[in-house]
Amino acid sequence: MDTIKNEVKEILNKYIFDKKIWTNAPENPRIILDLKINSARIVDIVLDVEEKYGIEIDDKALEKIITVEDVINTIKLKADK
Amino acid sequence: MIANDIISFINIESKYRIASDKALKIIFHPDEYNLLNNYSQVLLSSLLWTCKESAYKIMMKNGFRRAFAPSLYCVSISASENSIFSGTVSYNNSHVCAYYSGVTDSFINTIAAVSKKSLPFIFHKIFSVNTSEEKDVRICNEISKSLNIPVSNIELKRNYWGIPELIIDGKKSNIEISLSNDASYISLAYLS
Repeated sequence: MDTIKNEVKEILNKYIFDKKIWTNAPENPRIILDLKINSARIVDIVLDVEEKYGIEIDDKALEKIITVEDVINTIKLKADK
Repeated sequence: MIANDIISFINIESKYRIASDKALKIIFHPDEYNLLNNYSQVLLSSLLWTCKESAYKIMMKNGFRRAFAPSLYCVSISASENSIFSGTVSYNNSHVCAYYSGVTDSFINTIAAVSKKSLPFIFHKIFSVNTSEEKDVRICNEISKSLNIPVSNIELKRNYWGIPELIIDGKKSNIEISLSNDASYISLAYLS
């Protein structure tokens, strides 16, 4: 779990302008609203996650991804299939 | 209800993967692939993105609380002339908004409203800022100028869902506002 969490943070960090934002972020930050990632980066994040874990994130799954935990849960769910 | 969205074309192909082949399945609704016969992929991906994100913002203002999944939104283009596009956006076959989009060499900017009749009444302006700190100050200055209200009486807030609210004289204003930012560009739209 921690490995996936660190890997997801690493992916997100590529698109975070101010890395210090993690310091004051909630425990389970919202990707766009709390980490201040430009929404146009959704495509980059989805493609990065798909390529790293060999999974496909469909539109219905994407619609449920608001927080960092949502990304981790989606990866676990898709990787288990 | 109104919304807007802007995407800068500067370095778009190296900056974002939004215009890549792999991004098509994330952005395009199945009914939109045929549009690739008429428009370049970079232009079309950017146009669809700004239209869909505008529709998403309108739905969020209306209480929708899911993440943005662009391929669930379907954009129709009813007219495209002189770098201006117009049409509608739907979600699950239900109308969300009408839009018009302006394209320049530097950016694409979309303005949307639930009712097409509202579109001509939306004030909008695009400007650029050098730093993100400058953003809200500049937005308040622009609103101050256009509404002829002292800038000291204007405050910009965002609620928990990131929806901007205009505070005038300490009270939440009836003026509906929408903001978008990409690279150094800020797109401001409001309906008073």
